[in-house]
Amino acid sequence: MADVASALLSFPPDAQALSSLQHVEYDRQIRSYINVLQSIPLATLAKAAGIQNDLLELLDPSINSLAYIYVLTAQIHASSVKSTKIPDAHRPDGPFWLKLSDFLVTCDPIQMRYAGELWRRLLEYIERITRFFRAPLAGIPLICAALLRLDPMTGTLTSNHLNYIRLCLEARMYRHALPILDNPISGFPTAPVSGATNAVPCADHSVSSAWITSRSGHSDKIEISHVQEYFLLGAMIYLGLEKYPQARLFLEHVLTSPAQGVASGMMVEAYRKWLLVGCLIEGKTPESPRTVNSSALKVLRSTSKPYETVVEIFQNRDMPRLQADVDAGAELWRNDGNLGLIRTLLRALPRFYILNLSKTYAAIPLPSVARLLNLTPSDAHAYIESLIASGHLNGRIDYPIAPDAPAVLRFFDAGAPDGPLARNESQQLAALVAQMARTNELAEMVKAADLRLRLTREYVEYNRRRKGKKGGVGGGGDVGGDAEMADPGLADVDVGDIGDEDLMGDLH
Amino acid sequence: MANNIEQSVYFQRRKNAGALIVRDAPKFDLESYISNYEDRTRLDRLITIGCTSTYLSIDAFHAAIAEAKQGKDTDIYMSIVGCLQQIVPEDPLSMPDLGWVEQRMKQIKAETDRLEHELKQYKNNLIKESIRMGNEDLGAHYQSIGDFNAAYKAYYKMRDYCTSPKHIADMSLKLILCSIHQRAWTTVQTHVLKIQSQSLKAEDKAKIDPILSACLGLAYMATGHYREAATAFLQTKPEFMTGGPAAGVTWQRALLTGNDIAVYGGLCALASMDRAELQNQVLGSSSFRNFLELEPHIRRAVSLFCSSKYSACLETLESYRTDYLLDVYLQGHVAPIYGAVRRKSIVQYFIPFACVTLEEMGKAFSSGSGVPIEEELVDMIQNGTLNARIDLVNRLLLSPPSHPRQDVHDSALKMAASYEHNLRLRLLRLNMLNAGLELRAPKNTNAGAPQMHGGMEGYEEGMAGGSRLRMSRG
Repeated sequence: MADVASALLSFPPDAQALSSLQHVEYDRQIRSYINVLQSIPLATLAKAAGIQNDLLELLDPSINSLAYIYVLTAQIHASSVKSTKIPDAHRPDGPFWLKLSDFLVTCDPIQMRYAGELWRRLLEYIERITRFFRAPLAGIPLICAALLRLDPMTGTLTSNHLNYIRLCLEARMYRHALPILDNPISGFPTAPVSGATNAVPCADHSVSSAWITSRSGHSDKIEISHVQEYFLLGAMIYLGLEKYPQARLFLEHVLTSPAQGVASGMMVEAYRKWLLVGCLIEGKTPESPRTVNSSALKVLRSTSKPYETVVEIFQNRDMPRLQADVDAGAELWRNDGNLGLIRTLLRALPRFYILNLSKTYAAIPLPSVARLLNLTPSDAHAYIESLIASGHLNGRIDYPIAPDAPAVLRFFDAGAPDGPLARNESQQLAALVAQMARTNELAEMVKAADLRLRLTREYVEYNRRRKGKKGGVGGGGDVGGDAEMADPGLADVDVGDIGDEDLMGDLH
Repeated sequence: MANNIEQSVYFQRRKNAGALIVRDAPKFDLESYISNYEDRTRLDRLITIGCTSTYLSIDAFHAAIAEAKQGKDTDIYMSIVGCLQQIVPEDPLSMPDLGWVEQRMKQIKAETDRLEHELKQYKNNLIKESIRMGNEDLGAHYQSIGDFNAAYKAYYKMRDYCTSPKHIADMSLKLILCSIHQRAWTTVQTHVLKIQSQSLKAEDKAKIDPILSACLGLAYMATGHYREAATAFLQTKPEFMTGGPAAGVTWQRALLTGNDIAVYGGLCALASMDRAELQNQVLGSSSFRNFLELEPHIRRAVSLFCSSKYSACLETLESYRTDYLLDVYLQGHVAPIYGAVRRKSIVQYFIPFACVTLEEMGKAFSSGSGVPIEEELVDMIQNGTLNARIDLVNRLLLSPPSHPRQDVHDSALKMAASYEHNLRLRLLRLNMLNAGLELRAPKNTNAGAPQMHGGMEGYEEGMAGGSRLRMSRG
């Protein structure tokens, strides 16, 4: 028993030694430590815990994280051997659950890079408990915190992401999905590239896909259908929260996913939603992103005729026809799960009327607006107030002093300093700075993608051939040198432009 | 009298067809007006006036019949008589002179045969110059009987027998006149370009250039390109009015007079140029001044516009509306040109103001049609002509406030956002490709749908069996 305990506590070295440890050395030590851990029989770990419950008390989850997770999994395993049911002690707020949750929020994320599979199974077990005891309020925040603990950017899409989003959607806890959804996906678990620098998982990586690989065990195998499902479900969550621009981006991710001239069922679903969302944002048929595979798009179009018709009618601002068309297709919308979106579209039509008015008029009496909208004055009043409140309309309703004069709708243009949507100097600056931060973040992702592409076999081959043509001496292995030649690539041109010209220039 | 004419069969039919009818008396005197023109255009202009003006209809048709009888075009004679008959059936001139027609047709037939026979002879002799002249004679003959299609063809056949640039220029000029009579405006433009590319002698060039720019201006105006038309007319040299016949045609009588150039050029410029351009290129042009002197009211209208007296300018133009409606080439363009001038006036009028009351606007631009000024303004704002907004409550027209700093910020944010959006789309796609994630046919085509619903399974089922949770060893 004591042997086991001392073995478990043999890593990590104390804080002082740890700080002086090089990445490579740390990597070597942790790997040998894992070998030690794996040599301890499962039963010993589980029993040691089961009898005295000592090991978990002995270990500090934030320091001895690796050992802790091994013991935890051993205990779970032991309980699952006894019965297929989840033991009551594991229920949320039970003693074991508390240990689990304490571990997941405080564990050392660097050590967890080496225990990918255990980590994933642990998350899956929590998901199981959540479903079994129907306790989404306990489970969902915990999984979210755990995902963020392991990788604060959550930029590498894993099966955990997808499971989590599914869970949020089922439990209708849309808001809890946002911390994960809002982080852009920058990579996927792929086979690690040999020969890449900083290859040890414990090193400082700008993107998590450097250590979440297809072999690290952090994720189940990710297929294209998983990616599409993640983005489609994500879009549905955004739709539920009425965050239309984000929903649109996610749907476009589904539409632009690489396809060899074919479309999946999810793409059809995404296309229909995308048409409606684009119309809600722009008031007209949205322009399809250029990277969509054209033959796939043709398939999508041919399967979504009723949706295209609705959007076209919307574009002509033909309220009676829109109403008729929506009613006629009610069954279809319901079956496709788009009834809510269609109804929103119907409600949004007068908004575009009013926005058009704001281009022509600076102020207009409410009764005239009501007449133009074909609504009663009080309905129109309520509708406009809701538009102003939701920030869709930069306007104000004025009440004249004269008792019998009608109320007046006053429009403000985008830059006017006195409108309700006006932003003052510091807000404007904050918006610019936020955009700049996002852009820089993207620039990092571009650099990472660039690096990954430079390491592909195709690129190395290409470079070798190009060098050969020039009659140069250089061999193929000189990746570093090639990388420099490729510098005027994505990273420097596109992102550099946004960052330097568009934003910096305006801040002066 | 005028009332009777308006009730006549002919004008009733025009009215029903929605065609233009001019009821007011024009400012000009028909006789002195028409005496400026000769040949075909004289006939064209008389017919136009006869067809549209109830006031001058009979006089114009009488003059047209007299004119037609001197010429050889029997078709047009018959159609003029036909029109007159529908207006005043009891008029002695409205009975066609069939004897004259028959005699003329015989003459024409003999003439055609003679000319064709001669041409054949010339061709047998293989003398280029004779063949060219033979074709020219034939063309002139066809033109005089009103068969412009055949005339065009005959003239065009001269092409192979032209031996000098001057010949080609003469031929093209004839083709231009022919095309103008046919209202084939694009052909006019091509032939003008053709002559301009010829290397002519300086004296010929000086003579032909004014004619070319006048024809080009006319062609542009007729196709509605007022700005190009104005430029062409403004380039027309005053020699146009004094030059002798070119290619056997006295252009300032057979097509356009100097007065026409002044009116067309002035109106097109008013419709399409801004104040500075009008000042420099119209009023300040030493050559166009000669034309403007012929039509002082056009000059007045332009200078009123330049000195921002828009309503006076519009009034001046309005008082000549009837005259212009009776002009054969201007007829169809009076409304668009006047509309453009009016819209421009409104825009120019509004520039120095931050806000103007609608009442004031209405006063400055009272319209005869009875359409309230605000509707006109709404139209102009909606089609983007006028950059302003209307305050219906205080009845004001407001100029759009500008917030340049805010606007720059906003546009930067907007652009950055759209860049970001596109970059994210492309980056993810690239990463997916790099990770080998690609949708392939046909195995994976349907993989999506079942997956979709897989995630929605019931809550209590949970994950299958706890035995999945196992330690991994190695």
